[in-house]
Amino acid sequence: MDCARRIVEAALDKGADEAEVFSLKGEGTGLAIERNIISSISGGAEQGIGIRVLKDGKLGFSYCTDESKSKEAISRALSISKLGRESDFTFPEPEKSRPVEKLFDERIAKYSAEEALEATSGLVEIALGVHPDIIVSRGGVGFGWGSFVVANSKGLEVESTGTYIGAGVYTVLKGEDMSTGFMDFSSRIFNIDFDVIGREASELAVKGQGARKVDTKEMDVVLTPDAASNLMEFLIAPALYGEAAHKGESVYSEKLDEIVAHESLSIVDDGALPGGLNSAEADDEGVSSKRTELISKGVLKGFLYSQGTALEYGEKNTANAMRAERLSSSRNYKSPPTVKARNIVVEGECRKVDELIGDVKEGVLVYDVLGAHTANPASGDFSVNSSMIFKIESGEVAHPIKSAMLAGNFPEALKNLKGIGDDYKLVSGGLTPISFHIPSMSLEGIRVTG
Amino acid sequence: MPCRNNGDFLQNIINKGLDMGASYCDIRFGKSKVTAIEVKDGELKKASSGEEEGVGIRVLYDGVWGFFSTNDTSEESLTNALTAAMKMARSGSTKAKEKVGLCEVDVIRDKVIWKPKKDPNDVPMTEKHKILSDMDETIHKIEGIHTVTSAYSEGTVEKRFLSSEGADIQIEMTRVVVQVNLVAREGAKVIGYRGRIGGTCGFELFDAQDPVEKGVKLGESAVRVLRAKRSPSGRFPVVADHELTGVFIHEAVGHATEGDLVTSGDSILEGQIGEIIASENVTIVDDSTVKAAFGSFPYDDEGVKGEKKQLIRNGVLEGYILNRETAYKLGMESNGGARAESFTARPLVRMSNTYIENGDHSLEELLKDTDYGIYAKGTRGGQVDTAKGSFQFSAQEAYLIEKGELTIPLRDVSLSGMTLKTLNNIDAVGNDFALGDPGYCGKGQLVPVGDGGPHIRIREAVVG
Repeated sequence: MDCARRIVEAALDKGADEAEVFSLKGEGTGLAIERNIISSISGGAEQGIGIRVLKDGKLGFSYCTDESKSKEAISRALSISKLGRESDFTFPEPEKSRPVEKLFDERIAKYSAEEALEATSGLVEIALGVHPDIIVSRGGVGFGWGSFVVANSKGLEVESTGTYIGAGVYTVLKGEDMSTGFMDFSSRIFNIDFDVIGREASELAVKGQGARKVDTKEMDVVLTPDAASNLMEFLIAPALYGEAAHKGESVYSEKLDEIVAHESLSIVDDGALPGGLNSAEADDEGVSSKRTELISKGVLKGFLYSQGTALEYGEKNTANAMRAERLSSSRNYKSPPTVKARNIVVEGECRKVDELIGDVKEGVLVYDVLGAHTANPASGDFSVNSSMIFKIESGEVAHPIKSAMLAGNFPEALKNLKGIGDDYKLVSGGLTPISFHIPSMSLEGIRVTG
Repeated sequence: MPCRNNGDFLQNIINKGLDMGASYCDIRFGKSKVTAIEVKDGELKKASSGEEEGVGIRVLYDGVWGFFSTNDTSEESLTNALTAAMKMARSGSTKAKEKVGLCEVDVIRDKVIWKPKKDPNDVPMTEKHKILSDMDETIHKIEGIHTVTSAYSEGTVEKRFLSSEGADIQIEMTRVVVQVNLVAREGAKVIGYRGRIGGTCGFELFDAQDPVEKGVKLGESAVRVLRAKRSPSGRFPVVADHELTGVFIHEAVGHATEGDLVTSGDSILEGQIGEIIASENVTIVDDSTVKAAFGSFPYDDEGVKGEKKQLIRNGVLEGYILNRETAYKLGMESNGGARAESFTARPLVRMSNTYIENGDHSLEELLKDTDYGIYAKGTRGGQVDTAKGSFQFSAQEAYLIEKGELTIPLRDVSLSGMTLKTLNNIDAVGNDFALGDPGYCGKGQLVPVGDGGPHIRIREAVVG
């Protein structure tokens, strides 16, 4: 905190009208699994400082790795600020932030590589025990802690520290034919069950044996939390960003207060979700994390803003400034803040997943989707491939499908939502820091191409 | 603090690693300087410039890897990092069922500076800004273009690799990229469109490729797609342009030839060397020596010289992309396929510039022989399941082919299929080779890559 404050002062001394320092520190350990063995253990420690200055109404950004190099960084930020156009930007005022529960767990902070090694070997053993021909092809376990400080010349000072742990594995079964399985789990606290992850990944591959082709037609689709979050990450979340909405780049532009989804469906962004994978006391500009209703019982209620976009469009700051590099899911000091969803929470009338499946005459149950990042966020149109997919006939899972393509318009599909499950899962984004607390979702009228 | 790109200082850490019992140790120093500007609809949205340096230390103890990285380059921090890496490898070795071996390689001491003809560090910021403003202004003149977001970035990297075998390689290289994201809108119809130019070079990139011209092409395509009809779905013959061909080759073939996927049971190409896996028209290489291409490098991150790797020759699988570890496992030689995103990550087996080599047909011939099918251009990316051999990728622009002629423009064309079947279904390869837009490949770590090829025709693919 003191170091951040000193650099803010130094930037003001150098001539900045306002200044902000984002300082990041963290340490992590990762174990990689390749073909049934733990192939490597690696770790890293990172620290860094991102500096934003405001001079004559123009913003400049630079970064460096430690305080000893901050003088040069301030000069670079001031020099690059000259390029900018004058705006009414000003850094956020300090406000009281609430503590958020379940972000830090001492057990993770103290977890050792040795313990993780033991647990990971256990996971692999359990997975291999499910079927004699199973291969745990790849996967990994990662854990660590991270902390960031934001200080600005308005007197704002915020610090947030958190831990994380996660594990995920892919399995391959070469039996009659080739099938694959997958399971993962992520958390901020130490509530991970390694054995369950191994077992379920293998069980999915076993279930995938005996796959058949599927006919090409429109049908119901039940998406597991992993598949649903993947489509939400690239098709729904970006359409709810204030700037995209104001600029007419979103399917939700000019639709405030209109019905945009099924009347039972609500979508919320909650940066303060207890234990949320992207929760923190504040966003990356130091603004207290908030819960923002985006779609409430089918009606579009709002969009997401950072300090810059809130000021530009005269809206309330929803604490959605995140610093992450493009195509990266982790917080980073090298990038200036942009708007990103924090934890997207899908709410509605939850039912047992069996009931969701029971309601499907003809459809598919989808565990994974490939290529959601290639979808068209401006229109909401998507076309993805799934190779962990099962046919549903007369309300029961009938047989696995070799591979199928799913296509449609996701925002439209949310209007035809048949229901959501009660199997809530914390899922982290694939290529963005956006995280989810999301159940299975059952949708109507998706084009399935076999 | 003194600059840590210092041979003696780094060698000293390696020596300490050997003293601690490591059988092999390497250290990668990296220093990067990155400048990025983003303009949206005429307004500067982002201006950033920064520097970072750090090291990654890798040790092999009793056949098990340990790795630790830090961007605090004090001697104390590096010693701590080494100790942490050793501790990881030691504890790993108690559980290890298999020992890592490394294939023999030439021990290289070299310094390679890929000096840009026009160093972007010498170009005033205003000029970089102007490239984006000019693009923005020109693209906005196209009717139907709603928003334009363009980004410029340059990165200069200084790297040094030292190993306990005696290697000491210094590399300096620069990459420049301009990316454009467009949204075209007409009434309720709205689509996104994007493209990129870039290379491992300096500002001379813009002498060879005019960003404004590229932007206008993208803008015109975007508007055509906006007005296009939705693609029919089903199984059709597909003619793919060089960019889509490149992504298909990268996703479906390139990944499946990555040594780590091959040895971990995650590739359909495991055990297939010498087998016919594609139609005889197909020759595919991964080549890190293409001058100024986005995925090029002189030495990989294990100190092995980058080379042109023959993956498929006339339909026969000839090789994989290998690092030292996977080469050892397979009884082969490393061909310089180890790449790390930066010093913060351990090197993995990665592609460089992957492409299909020229055949002997003109585009006209490919189209002429197609009675009913789809001509698909450009890409929004793709993804692949290498174990099952299934892939998905999306085209940006497409046309219906009817009786050998391009007729109706189509939108949202996405292709999927099984890799091996599709490779066998390539019934004609064009003679108009080009690399597509530069890209970033994600495999836990992002690395710059190139891909491309000539036009190809796939007899049957699933279009959705």
